[in-house]
Amino acid sequence: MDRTGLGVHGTAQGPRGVAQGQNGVTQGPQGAVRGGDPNAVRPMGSAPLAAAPHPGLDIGTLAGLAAVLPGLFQQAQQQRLQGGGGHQKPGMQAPSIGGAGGAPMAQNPKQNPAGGNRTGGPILGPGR
Amino acid sequence: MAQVAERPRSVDDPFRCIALSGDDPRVLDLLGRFLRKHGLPAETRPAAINWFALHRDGEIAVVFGLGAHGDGGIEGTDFYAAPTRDGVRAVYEVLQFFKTLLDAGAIPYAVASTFAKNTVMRKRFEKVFGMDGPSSVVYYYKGASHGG
Repeated sequence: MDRTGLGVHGTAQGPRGVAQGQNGVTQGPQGAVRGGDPNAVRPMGSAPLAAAPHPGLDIGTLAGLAAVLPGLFQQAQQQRLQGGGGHQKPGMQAPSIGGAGGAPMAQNPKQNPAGGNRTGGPILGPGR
Repeated sequence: MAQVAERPRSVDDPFRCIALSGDDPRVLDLLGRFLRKHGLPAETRPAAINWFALHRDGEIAVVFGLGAHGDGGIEGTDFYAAPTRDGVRAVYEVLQFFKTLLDAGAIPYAVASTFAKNTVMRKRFEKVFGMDGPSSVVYYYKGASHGG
């Protein structure tokens, strides 16, 4: 009787072991998916070269960067002189480049009531 | 014939941005000054980047180097300011300019680096971008034959 009882217990435990093994198999693909997560934290300087196209500037080349940056800086300077303020405001558009005239930027100070009275002065005050 | 009196330069005058080549004397001047100050070898000048400068009336306030990532990101690799108040202001102008571009979505991201011991530049990054401390650390080693 004692030996039969042990046998029953042993048989019952067998299928549990098999079932757990199947669970282990089904978890495998999940791990593989996590490994390919495009949002994973990357070390500095290892950004993927074939990322999704960005709607902003097309400066993905060194030549493009050199061509657009000085003009873009002047646009930002003029925007600050016109009262846009030094900080980004809701509704302000990115300075566009390459097009005829570019996209309009928020030039009316009334559109940016929080823009303050900055007139393009230095970011640092005197004495810094 | 009346001559228009030349207005003295003011700190309120806007900076102008120009592109420079890596071997431009104005770049090498401020770069060399930085390397000598920190006892760094002169051959650490990075290659394959674009150089720019901010100036007022031709007087260079800062030179800076930028690299473009293939996915549209920009990496600021070098900032060498003139040892003047304009130099300090110009560094903030450059950082604020890129913050504007980033906040407006004009560029997807930017990466900038500085030496860990350059606490002044690190504080500038933190002040403009509101970041608390560095996001990565790079170890620089040239081999035992160069003294490590």
